[in-house]
Amino acid sequence: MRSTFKNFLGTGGAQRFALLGILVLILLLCLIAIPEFRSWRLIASMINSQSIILLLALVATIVLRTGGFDLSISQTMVGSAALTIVLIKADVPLAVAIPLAIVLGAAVGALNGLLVVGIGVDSFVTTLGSYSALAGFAYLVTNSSIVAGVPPELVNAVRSEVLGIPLVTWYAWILALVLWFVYQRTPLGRYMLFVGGNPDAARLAGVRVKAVRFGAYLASGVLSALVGLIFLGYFGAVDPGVGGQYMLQPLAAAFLGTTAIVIGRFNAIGTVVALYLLIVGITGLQVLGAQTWVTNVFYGVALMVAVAASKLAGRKRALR
Amino acid sequence: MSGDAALGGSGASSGLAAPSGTVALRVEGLEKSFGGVRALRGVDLEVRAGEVHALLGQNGCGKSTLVKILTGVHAPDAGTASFFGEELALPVTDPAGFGIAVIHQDIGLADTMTVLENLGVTGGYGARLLGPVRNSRQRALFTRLMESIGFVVPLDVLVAELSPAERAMVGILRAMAQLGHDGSGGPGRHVFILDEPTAALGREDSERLLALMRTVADTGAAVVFISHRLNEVQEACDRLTVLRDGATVLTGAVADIDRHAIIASMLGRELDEFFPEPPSADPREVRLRLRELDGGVLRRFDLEVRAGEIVGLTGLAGMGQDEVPEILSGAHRADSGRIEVDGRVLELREPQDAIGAGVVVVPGNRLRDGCWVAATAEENVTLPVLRRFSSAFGLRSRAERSASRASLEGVGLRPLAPERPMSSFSGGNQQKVVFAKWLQLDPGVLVLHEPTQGVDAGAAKELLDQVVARAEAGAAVLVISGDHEQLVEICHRVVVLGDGTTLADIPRARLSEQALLAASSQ
Repeated sequence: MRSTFKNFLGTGGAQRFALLGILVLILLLCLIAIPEFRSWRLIASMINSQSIILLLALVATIVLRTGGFDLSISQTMVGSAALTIVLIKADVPLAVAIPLAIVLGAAVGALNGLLVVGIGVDSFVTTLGSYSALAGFAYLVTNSSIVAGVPPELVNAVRSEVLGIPLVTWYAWILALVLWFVYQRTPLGRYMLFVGGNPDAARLAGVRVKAVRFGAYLASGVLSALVGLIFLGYFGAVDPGVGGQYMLQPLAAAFLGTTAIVIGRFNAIGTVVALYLLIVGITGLQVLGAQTWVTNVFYGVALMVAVAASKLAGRKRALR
Repeated sequence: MSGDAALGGSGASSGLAAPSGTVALRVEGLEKSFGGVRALRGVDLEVRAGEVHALLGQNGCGKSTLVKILTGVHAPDAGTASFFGEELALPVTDPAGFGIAVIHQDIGLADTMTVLENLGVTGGYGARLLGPVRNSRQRALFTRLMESIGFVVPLDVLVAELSPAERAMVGILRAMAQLGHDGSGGPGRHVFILDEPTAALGREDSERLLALMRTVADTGAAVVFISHRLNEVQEACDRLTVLRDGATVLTGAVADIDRHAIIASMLGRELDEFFPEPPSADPREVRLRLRELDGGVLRRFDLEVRAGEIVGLTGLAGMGQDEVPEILSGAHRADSGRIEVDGRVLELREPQDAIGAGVVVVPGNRLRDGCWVAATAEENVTLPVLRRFSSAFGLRSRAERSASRASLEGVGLRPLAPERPMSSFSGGNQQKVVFAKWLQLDPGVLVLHEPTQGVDAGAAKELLDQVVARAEAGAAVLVISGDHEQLVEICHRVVVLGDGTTLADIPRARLSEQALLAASSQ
């Protein structure tokens, strides 16, 4: 028994669960120190309101795992939501509008993939470009105004509750489990890791490096468009200028996630733990009376701490 | 052996009055250990002003350690040095300030910048950090310098457009400027060390560079020329020093020493029994055939390797031997020519085509091409065969673990810990993991690129035993290596390349290090 436990800790040690431990600790501290925290409604709304960020954070890990960046996911989400609602307003049926939104996501992903993998442009620059272009696209199709009026089917598909938890949260958890399976339990997940870690060695071992990388951008675009539909159902309206608010937080969670569960690697469960840690921290501060700007500072600092911590963890592993 | 025999060796001096015979650089009794390994155990070197001095020796003989001590990278354990009669404190912390400049083989130029920009950067563009760059003054300085040594490179073209020889010349020019040469022609108290500058050059470019070295020496500076090409040494150098196993074994005037003596003193060391013999059974049918292969340096290269045969492939740096594994692995496509495996033409577009045809290349650059150090040994080993463990419920971890454990046990990994990250293993054990990764594919054609580079002798023996076992089992084995001793011991025959084509094909009966060195240095 003892040796099983040692093996369990052996690959990464107690470090794997350090972030989870911190999450539990902060949650307990908040529960003890802040009376308002002791309400299921606060905790539920805390989790539900951040599910879209969790979805985006999980999507972000796909390209990150292959060694690139996809900054455009938040604007792909807004773009697909904006396109869908404008089509609905023009009396296009949902059965047509939804596939078109997904095609938009696929097109963005394919274009990103083509530039990065086919031509060899830096992924940061490429997706920053598509980020900006899509922001313009959202303003264009909505005529620079907030558009409301989402059909009830779509709202229900996102806000209906199962076991007291809205579907949007279930979607995020399901995506986390699916990505966990792909990353940890399939050859593709391992290939993505090697493509990100050492593409030359991966290619020589017979991995189709270009296909894996292109596929990652494509999947990232399609999933971001799906998150856009969830976004639409959740808020019932689209503000074309909202994309910027969703850019940094998913990346912060994804990077912080590399310091948990599977150390030094972008992974799904670590990302979930990291995001919930950030949310509990921010909610605690807000309940204590902190201003809105605290959120930005908190996420910014968390991103820097996360990247530094994953770097240090990687260095320590290398020295072992 | 006597160094005194070399007075007057620098015969070709022009009117610039080099103080011939003045000792520019003297190194005595230099010793240096890394961990338990003695890299240098008594190096003496005397380089005179106005001469071109060849520094020779096989890989690992201590040349680069010596250069690194002279440029302040390493501190020696013992030994003294003097520079134009003054004591030189070791390690040399400011070599350029003292007058020592090294031009490395890769020179270190920025391809996308102009010649002038590349030249100016070492001198800080003759300006303060935020001051305006004084282009006209820079231009005048380098024009004068070029005139003083008699060659011209256009200052405004991009470095990417230069020929290899011109790049080397820009490197020399930059080093001269760094040492404060201004082209006025006065005797400079300078030592230039050129580390294999001609290794990547064709004959014509080499000759231009050798002529330039002579011109630089004629200004009164000393030039140390590191090279493996003996004919160039005999052509262009005044005196030479040979290092072997970290000690000076021969020094004297080039004119007084014949080629055989140089080769003998370079090899000299006892042959040990660390190497397995190739399979004794006669090689069978041809498994790998290359026909008129063109690509990189290779020109209409033909090669056959039979089942059960171990063939070596060697040559001086950049003669085309490095292209062979790149093409056979599918990493780079050949420009033209044909590759046949077991009589069937093989189309190689991507590495998976090679693997599918049973052609396996163990890459030479372990860290770049062989593995990913942040992954575990197991993850690295199973990468090419990962699909074998795939099931509807995901990877079968136990099957993967037992398969990787078996492969790693087969190559003698120590410790046998598949779950450990690659970076926690020694170089030799990392190479065993790389071997295990490729040998589990049961290759019909096994290509090894520098298989024991950076691997200690014990691990090297284990790896080579594996190679011989594969040949005995019927694989066609091709070993690309610069380690002649190893090739002589384990190969049925060795093909020597020069300028991308076969110079010699030496059968086992006539195989010796001398034969290989002589054939490569033609």
